Amino acid sequence: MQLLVNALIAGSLAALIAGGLAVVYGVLGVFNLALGQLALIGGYTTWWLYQVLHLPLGLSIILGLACGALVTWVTFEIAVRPFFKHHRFLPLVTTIAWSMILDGLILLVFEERPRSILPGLKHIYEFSGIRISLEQGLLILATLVILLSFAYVFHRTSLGRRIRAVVQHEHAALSLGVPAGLLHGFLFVLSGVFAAAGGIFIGIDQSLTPTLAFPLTIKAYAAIIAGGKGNLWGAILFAYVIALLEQLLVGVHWFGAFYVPAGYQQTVALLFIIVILLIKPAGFFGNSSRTA
Amino acid sequence: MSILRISHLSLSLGGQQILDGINFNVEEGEVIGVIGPNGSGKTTLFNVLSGFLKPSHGTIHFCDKDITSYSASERARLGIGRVFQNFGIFRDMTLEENVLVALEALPKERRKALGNIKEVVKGTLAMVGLSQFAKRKAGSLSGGQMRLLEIARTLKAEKQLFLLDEPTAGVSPKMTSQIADLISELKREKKTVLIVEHDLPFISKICDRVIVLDVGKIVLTGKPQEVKQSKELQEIYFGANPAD
Amino acid sequence: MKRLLACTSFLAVALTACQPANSDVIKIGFIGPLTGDAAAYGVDTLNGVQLKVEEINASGGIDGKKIQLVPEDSKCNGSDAATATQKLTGVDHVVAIVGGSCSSETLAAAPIVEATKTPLMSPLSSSPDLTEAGEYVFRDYPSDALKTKAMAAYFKAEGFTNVAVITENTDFAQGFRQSLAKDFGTFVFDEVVEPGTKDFRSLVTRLKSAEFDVFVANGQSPATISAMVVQLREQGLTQLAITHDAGQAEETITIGGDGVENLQAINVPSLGEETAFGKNLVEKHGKPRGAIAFAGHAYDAVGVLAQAIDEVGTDGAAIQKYLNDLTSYKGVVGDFSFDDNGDVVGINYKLIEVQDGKWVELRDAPVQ
Repeated sequence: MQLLVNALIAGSLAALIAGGLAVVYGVLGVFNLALGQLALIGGYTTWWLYQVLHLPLGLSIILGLACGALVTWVTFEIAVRPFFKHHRFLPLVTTIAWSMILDGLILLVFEERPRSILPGLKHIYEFSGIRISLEQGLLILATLVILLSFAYVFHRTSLGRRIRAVVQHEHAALSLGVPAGLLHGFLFVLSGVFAAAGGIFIGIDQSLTPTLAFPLTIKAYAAIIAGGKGNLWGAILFAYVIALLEQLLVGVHWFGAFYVPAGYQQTVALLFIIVILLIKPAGFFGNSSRTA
Repeated sequence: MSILRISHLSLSLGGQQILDGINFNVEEGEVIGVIGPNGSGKTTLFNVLSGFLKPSHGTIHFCDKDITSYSASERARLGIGRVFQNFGIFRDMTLEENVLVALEALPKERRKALGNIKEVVKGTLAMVGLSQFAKRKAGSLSGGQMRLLEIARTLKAEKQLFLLDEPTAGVSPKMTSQIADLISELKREKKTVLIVEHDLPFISKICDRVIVLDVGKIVLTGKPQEVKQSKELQEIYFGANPAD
Repeated sequence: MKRLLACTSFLAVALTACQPANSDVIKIGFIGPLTGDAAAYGVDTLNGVQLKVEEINASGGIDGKKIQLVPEDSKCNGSDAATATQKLTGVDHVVAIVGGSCSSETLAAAPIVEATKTPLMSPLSSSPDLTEAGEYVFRDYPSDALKTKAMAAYFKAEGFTNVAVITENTDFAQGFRQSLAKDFGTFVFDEVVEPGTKDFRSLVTRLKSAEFDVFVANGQSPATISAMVVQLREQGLTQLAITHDAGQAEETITIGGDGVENLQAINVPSLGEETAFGKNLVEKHGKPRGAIAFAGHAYDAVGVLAQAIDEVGTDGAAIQKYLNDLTSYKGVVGDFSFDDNGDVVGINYKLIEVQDGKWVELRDAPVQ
């Protein structure tokens, strides 16, 4: 049971980032490899506002998200928008280049040392043997609220209909007067806000280090590839599934005989992609068209 | 007044001249057929008119406004509607949602003027006899039904100029006549319609005028009956495609 | 790659041979992690090195020659350290090198300094493997072989028999783990995680059902070590947690907060801010990222090298012989000398604990 809760914690974080990635891939057909850095920027900004400027935590988080959004917008304008119409793989290269620039900037601004938004012990609660901190509970809840409200917007509102229209037939949406270009920018920035939320999550639950960015991106990719590229809910589901697998792999006494060494935990995500792709080459919920 | 004026319109892509000095005017309420062999530039002409492609030369005036530099969604909001050959519907959305997207893309005051938006959606689906599928995914419809939905949606989105790209392609004969009826309905409502089509009987039944394109140039224009009997058409069109 | 390395080192030797040494200055190289998770070690040791170099230059240098410092970032990994060492020996022709901090760096630098006969003095590397690394490899920081002996002796004295260890997969932490296993015996819980892991929840969950008396947080950096201990406490495990020099840093407390209260460490004596050296360092370079002792060992590394150069000149072999024969050097970290393997003799271990958010020295931790 504790493993399940652990998976929920790790999975919530991954789901936020994978969700953002899936939306962008679904709509623009673009892989954004700077997403891990954008997550860190959100986390580090929040840390700086809260721990250095001593702003209230709530305000720091909001401004952290805003900063994440701003940098994501710049990312879109510089590394994605000028290129993605020419070929959808171009941003693969440009966002890698941009991610390296961001890596450098993070080092320069926030220095090369681990930062924790809320250092020390959290407020721990125990329910029938399962221990979870208040902060973790709130983070899991916040992730659910964010994902559910996005689901609501996506499926029930006028804005969501337009987004889906652009995803499913961009030209038709355009010729009805839906401003697809604006929506592209909006969704890209939204994915950055999701990532920034993920970064703040890490900063609160653990600690931020500048080298964290790439592993974050990789895990999110594992989830969206397994979930069927561009399938939002598939990506989110598999973010949780991979987190659960990681926990089970090292946490369970397999066949009552042995534990898998913890060093293999990190490889789960990548092995998982390989297995899924062998069984279902289009991903679990994938189909030929992008549906988001 | 000409609702659409196209002058000296040219487009070259990758060194190839796809459109070569197209000139023609369309009067309000006219229904015009655009025909020509495959690769003659019909769909490209529509893509330039919709704003998906930028012309290399020439201008497009719509309602006396130079719209050559307008984006696709700006043109749509001015009243240019497009019906796609490969079905421009949103397959994973319900029929209701498909109509809603069109209505919600209208400028605010015009959307308000529609009144109860749900009723308008119902009316739109009823008009093309698709009311019973309102909650179904649009992707589950037949080709003809999709096309009816798309045309009805474009009509309710208050478009003035309709660009219909092969409305009968992939549609059963029975549905083809329904589509023809719907286009006649557009005509009654004083809408202007451009149709790219291979089905000549269909064209001659509903069009006021026919334009024949070949290798990016207008080679012939006139009443359907005249064009049908002209020698040029036999050569470039039927000559090139004996199967038709 | 190997051939490339061979080529460059050949080139390095060739360059050394045909270029006369610059006689105006004495060049001393520095390698250490200036960026990355382990940057605290590199930054602190570099500060210590700079402090000593400035002092020597201010008092006229060595035989009238100023010391010129050439620092390189070796990022706590072997390949960057090898590249940096190639550059220092081949391009800069340094007389000696201070560094690296991480044992991976020093181990990678060792064959290069052996080939070029450049004495290297590591201020912080503690892997037992370094003992055999070569004639030109020295350290003024004790080997983990001694540290684990001290820790094992402490566990025996306290009556701890069940020891749980989580190890970060780096040369340093793996070296410590194997050395502790040799001195203590088998562990009841022994897991190795990838470098940089911060989520130990699944392992800690397993620890809940394991019976253990003491937990050894065997990470490479304060970030991972504090994450281990905090997550242990969050799961309500109250057993003693202990770490080593990698964890005994200020950053462990800034990140871990009250989660690392009562965390113990076996380490070389720390240098407080109240010591003359501590005051001087904080005044010149600000508060240390890790610990004042890191800078202290680096300061003494330069000191003992400078004394050797002053006595026998800039020839690598002569410096090497001088250091081996040295009976005692009076440094800020204590009086020390070197054994035949280049390992330091005379630095004793202490038992240290976090009390009210500060590292406090409890007592000596004897090796026996």
